[in-house]
Amino acid sequence: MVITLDGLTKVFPAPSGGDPVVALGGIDLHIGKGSIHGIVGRSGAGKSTLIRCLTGLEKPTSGRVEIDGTDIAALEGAALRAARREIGMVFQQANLLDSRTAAKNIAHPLEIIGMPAARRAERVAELVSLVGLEGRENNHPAQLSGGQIQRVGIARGLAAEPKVLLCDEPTSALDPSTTRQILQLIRDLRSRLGITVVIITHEMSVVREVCDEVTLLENGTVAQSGSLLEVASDPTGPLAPELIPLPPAPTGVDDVMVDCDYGGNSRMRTTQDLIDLAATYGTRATIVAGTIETIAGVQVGRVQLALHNHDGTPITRPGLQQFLTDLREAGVVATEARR
Amino acid sequence: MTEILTNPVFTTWDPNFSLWSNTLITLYMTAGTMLLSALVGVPLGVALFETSRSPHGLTRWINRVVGFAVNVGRSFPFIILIIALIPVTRFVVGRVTGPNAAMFALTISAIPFLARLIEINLQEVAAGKIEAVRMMGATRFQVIRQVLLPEALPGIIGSLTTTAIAVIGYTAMAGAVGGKGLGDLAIRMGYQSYDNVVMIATVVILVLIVIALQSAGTALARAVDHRAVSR
Repeated sequence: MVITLDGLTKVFPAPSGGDPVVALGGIDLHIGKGSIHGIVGRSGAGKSTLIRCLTGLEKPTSGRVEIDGTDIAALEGAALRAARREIGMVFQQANLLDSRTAAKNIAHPLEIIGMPAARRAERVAELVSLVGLEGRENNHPAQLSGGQIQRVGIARGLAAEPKVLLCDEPTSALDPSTTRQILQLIRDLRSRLGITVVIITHEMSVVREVCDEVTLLENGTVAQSGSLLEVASDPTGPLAPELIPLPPAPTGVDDVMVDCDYGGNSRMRTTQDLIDLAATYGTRATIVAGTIETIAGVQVGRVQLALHNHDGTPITRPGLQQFLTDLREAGVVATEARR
Repeated sequence: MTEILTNPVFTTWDPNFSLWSNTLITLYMTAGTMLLSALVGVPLGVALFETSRSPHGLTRWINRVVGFAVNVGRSFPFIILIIALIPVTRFVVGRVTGPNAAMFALTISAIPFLARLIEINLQEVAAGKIEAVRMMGATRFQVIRQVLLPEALPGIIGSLTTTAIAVIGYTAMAGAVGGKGLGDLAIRMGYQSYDNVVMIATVVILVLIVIALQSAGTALARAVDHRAVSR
């Protein structure tokens, strides 16, 4: 494991007269090498405190924060500064220095570790081509677009060859098409460098597009954690409805409706399988609403089906019950939709 | 017209009357004061900024003590400060009259003023930038050298310009300890001897110096400012 959080708690002292604020109430989390791990949650769920504990900017009240075998929480001074060099950090606003050109910003972590100038220039040239910024090296941040600024931020985060790249809302300030480019870049870098990436975000689209694993924080505790496929195909969990939302059905359909969640471990591989199953009873199933995603090569869907017999008559209660039972036996979470 | 031009203020180099030698004296006192007060005031401003962010009890106390000294220094009327400082001036400069003695009092007065302005300049550097560089494993000193000072540089140049212009104003009172300079010339020859030619000539020269200083400061600040778009 590259990152191991063990019983991590952070309690802030009481604001005058009130109770102490428990920002993190015992977090256990393991993140393996080379994975892209998303951490999601509402504002106030503890995301920022968690990232500050990971970087040693905040001392935990108790628990361990291990990065590559070193307990960050126990370090101070020079040892903490050395440990921080194993963590690259990418920020929402990039936090580049306006007084430095793109190349000088990228070189900054290398200056701090004391790399000789010649070797530094080589490394910067590598990083510039790695993130696709050729020709922009000598521009100052004010002369770059939002996407280019974040590319500089990522190159700077990677400069000192850290084991972990920590991204704090890396795309929240970007437009949708730039967001896709930046996420694509992060995925590329993971496969080329084998680096472990942690992305803090409030955008489910970021999790869907780039993460292998996801952890949901709620009130300073882990509400759900697992691989994207696991959490997306567990319709009883809190993340599935966020990842695979069910849009509203059109009005004016007065057929019996069934909500179906399938994917992952169900025997129904695609929405077509559900429709084919209905057809074996002489029932016509129409998709009226739904979201279908492919996660880790597996289709995961949440659909609402409208049912009636092929001759146009409404489906019978026993017929409906039989259909629901068969779906459940096939591993689909199926319920009659409330109208 | 010829009467005006033959006024000793234009024709001599005697520091008791000459516009030209008093211009040089004013420039000398201002330049010397700025050099000395920048050497002390900029680090003091950095110290004020650094100690104000610290959660530790000791540094907070240092901040309070330094902050108090700066406030006392800034609230002294300059003419009183010159006179109050006479014993110290004698000890440090070796004499209590002349441009160098005046420069000592000017420097003591400019340091706290400049230090406060520098502190404000540093407060304007975004906290996220400091945190980003701390995350690279930078020491506190590296953060000051590589983040705070370069990022605040346009503002710092502005503060130095503002201080220099204030110092020019204060040099007028240097006459109180025989420091001479344009302000002293205007008071003695222009105001007390009713010589309007001297009065107007000194004011014109002072205005020209201030305009030149301000333009140079603004141009320099703009040249080092990369925040604005200059493609």
